[in-house]
Amino acid sequence: MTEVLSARFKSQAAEALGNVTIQESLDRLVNFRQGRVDAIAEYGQDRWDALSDRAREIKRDTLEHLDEYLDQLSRQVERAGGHIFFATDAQEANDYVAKVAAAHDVKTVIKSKSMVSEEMGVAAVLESMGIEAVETDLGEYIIQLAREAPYHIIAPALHKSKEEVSELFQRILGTPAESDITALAGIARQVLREKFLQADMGMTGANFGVAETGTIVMVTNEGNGRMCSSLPRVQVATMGMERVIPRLRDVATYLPLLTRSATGQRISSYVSFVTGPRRRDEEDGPQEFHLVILDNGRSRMLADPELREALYCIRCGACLNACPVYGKVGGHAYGWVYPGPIGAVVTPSLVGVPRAKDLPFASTLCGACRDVCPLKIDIPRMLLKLRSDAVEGPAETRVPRRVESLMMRVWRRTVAGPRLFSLAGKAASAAQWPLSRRGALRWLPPPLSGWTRSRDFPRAAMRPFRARWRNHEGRHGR
Amino acid sequence: MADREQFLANIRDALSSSNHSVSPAQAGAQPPARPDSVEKPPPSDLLAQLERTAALQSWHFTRAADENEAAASIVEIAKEHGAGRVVRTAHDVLERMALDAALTEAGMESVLLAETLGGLDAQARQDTAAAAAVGVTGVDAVIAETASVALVPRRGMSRQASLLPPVHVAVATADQVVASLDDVLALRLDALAEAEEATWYMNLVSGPSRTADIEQTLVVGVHGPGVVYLVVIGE
Amino acid sequence: MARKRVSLFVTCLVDQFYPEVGEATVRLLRHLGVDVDFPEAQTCCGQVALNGGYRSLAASVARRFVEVFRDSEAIVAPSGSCVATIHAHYADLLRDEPELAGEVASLQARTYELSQYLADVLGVDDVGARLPSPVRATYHDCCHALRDLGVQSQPRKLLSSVDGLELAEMKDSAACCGFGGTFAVKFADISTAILNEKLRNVDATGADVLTAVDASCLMHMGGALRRRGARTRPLHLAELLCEGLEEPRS
Repeated sequence: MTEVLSARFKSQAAEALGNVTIQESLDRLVNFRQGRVDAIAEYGQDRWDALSDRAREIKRDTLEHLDEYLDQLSRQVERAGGHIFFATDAQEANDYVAKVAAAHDVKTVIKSKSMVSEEMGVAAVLESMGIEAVETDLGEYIIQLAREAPYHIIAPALHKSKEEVSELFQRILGTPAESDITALAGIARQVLREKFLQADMGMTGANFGVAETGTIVMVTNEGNGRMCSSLPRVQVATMGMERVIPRLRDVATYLPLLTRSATGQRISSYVSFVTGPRRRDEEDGPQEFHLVILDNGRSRMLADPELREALYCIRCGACLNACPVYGKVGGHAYGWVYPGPIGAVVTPSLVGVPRAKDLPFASTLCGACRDVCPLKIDIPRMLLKLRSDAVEGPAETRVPRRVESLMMRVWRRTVAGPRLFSLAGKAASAAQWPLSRRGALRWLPPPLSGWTRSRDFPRAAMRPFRARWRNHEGRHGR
Repeated sequence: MADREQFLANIRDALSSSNHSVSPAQAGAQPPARPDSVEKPPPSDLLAQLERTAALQSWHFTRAADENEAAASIVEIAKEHGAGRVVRTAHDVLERMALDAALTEAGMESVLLAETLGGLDAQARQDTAAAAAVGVTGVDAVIAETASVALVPRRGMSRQASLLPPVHVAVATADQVVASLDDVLALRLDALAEAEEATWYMNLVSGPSRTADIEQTLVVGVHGPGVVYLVVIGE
Repeated sequence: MARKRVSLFVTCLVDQFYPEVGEATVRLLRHLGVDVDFPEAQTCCGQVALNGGYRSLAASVARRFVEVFRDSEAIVAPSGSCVATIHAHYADLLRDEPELAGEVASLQARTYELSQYLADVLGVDDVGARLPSPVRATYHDCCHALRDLGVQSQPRKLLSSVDGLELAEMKDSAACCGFGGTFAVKFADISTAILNEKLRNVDATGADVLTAVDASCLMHMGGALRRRGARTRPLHLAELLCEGLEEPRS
């Protein structure tokens, strides 16, 4: 499984905040935001809301009967001549892919973008076997050359400037310096075209797995997904177990939500429906088709009534684009495969709260993510749930926080009644007197010092509201 | 290693440990209302809609009164792209318009990209498609709302003709135009009900290959065709 | 017609730091003919504990809140986020006490953010305020007021009707100011980066006053404005509206 660096959220965030190129690239997220708004306006808000409700309803039903739908999906894949593998964790999934590759004496694997394969870290596993595993989505290719993790679910190389891409291509591919973006894409096209034509195995993700027909649906813009599922002898698709949808016609519900939320596109350039390997009477296509269905912690989310809704996610990335925090710290700060608000829920849920202890707290809870989510996933509510897991949950989710919990114990007594509450207010007001200047505090001691680095803190009132009320109203009565 | 039964049993455990809500008796027992089941517009409206959306999706859109006119358009397109060789599929509509003859007459070569009909082996097929300047295919349906053509590869209809050449010309007849994706999926289910095999592949193509992965700047033709034509025959 | 009566939930922040916001709220309500009382047993809504992950503590505060305001006809607070805590989270927090469910639902239905109460319950768009000198004001949409309570048009209507006030909309008025409670302390640099972007949009309006329906967001943005010695004054909606009411105040 891909290494989890989420415990370093703060230092990774600080790096991004200090990087001008990254800040400029994050400013470009406005294009995604505007694209989405325009696309929904074109579609019609009422129609959009109805589609969204329907999509939620289908997900609810799907997850409540997930075992049945997965059973149906797997049997239909087999009926279509495909192989199916259920993997409990990333290791099992990687082992299976390695076994298939070895059995076919595979030298080169071409990969199209898949978040689950990032989660597995399968490219590294194949490379350790001496198999060349090439990412073929332009953005993924760039970050693979740079040996980095995807920055954004939809735009993996969002953070790279064209100069950085040019430098990368020069260093690794030996191509001349190039400042034109079309020409840079042309270089990648040329290099990757060769890989497409010589590869023995294609690996793809699956945006949806249709139980009714055993079809996986892949949504791409570049055409690399079509290459990966058409040219090599073997295709291996990986999908998270929650990506199953019951009926073929449900694709018509999810696809508009996905593409319009993600990039503001009416539809992506290519939507591929893959049902088993090539037909007997077909001209081309893989002779073998494998579908790997991955759990890797998802069943724990399924079992938790407060986290299950996170499995509704269709990975459109709209919450990243809307999030004020992602908009400043970018993808790598989150330290694993899934960044942004949905990542702050999914990562601690899959890898455990203690390994990603900052993520549930790294949010202002502003709710912009929930507003733009096409599945209306209540991300802030789930962040609160993960916070409470970290603070007062069972031992395996708890993260020690001594000073804070002491403060909260004091606060508990304070808010339990007006008397102590007033007293505490007076005490605080008196304590800060020496620190204040003209009605405000310019400095506070740790752990509050972060506030006063950039902001004054108000001085508590000499006479709080309740004293004024008593004084005033006590005399006049009510 | 987890086998299917073990994996699914684990999911059942997860579901039963959660007191989430009361499940209906049967999966999918009440599929929610379909918001998109609007009344079907008349065909002429669909064509007008397609013409609009095709432009938005960056198709070069052409109407042709009949097969001859379509063939002439395709010859012009091939010429414009300096094609010495055009690869094509065995779709009926291309046979009816005698495309090979039209291209040959204009000094170009037309190659049927098929093992089953044209005798090219796998390697030759791939080499030919990759070297061709233009690929011409028929389609199985066209979606007016998104200007998407549905391609279902089968005997004589290679996946590569619409994928490897830098230019793709998709040829449809007016009666193939449907309103929405849902219509195409419904047609597909009808076809499956009649088919002997459960195996199938379908692509929806909705414009040129595109990427905006570098600085969110649009580039077309990154892996698939960068220039695409949609020719619709008839009213 | 029976006079309306509301119980003021002043919120802990206003009580201890911004008592003048509480006074303005009382004055505004009375000016509009509403009787106001102040249940002195009140303390906090529990938002701080809830956001910090101290759910059981938040639950005990919520239970207390339900008891304190049990007999109130209506509850009004000059804070969108506190009201949102009650609306969006009390049912969840008290789910283990099903006997309270009915009371919680009724409490939620009776609890209003100030501008909501003025515009939606009293039907007032114009409080009759006339500012002594012209003011250019910009309105920040506080996240919870906007997204949990749907407060968007109410404060704008009230502001637009003030004589002498020009409402200048800022870019991305619905973008978070970066406060998020302890977030602003735990992740101070990220919070500041978000805040800076917000204040750039405030600055661009050239407003004299930055107003909102939550004292907490104003404390955050105002703290930075003050640090920079900015000309723009942070002012709660209640205070801004009151500035235009006829004196004397007592």
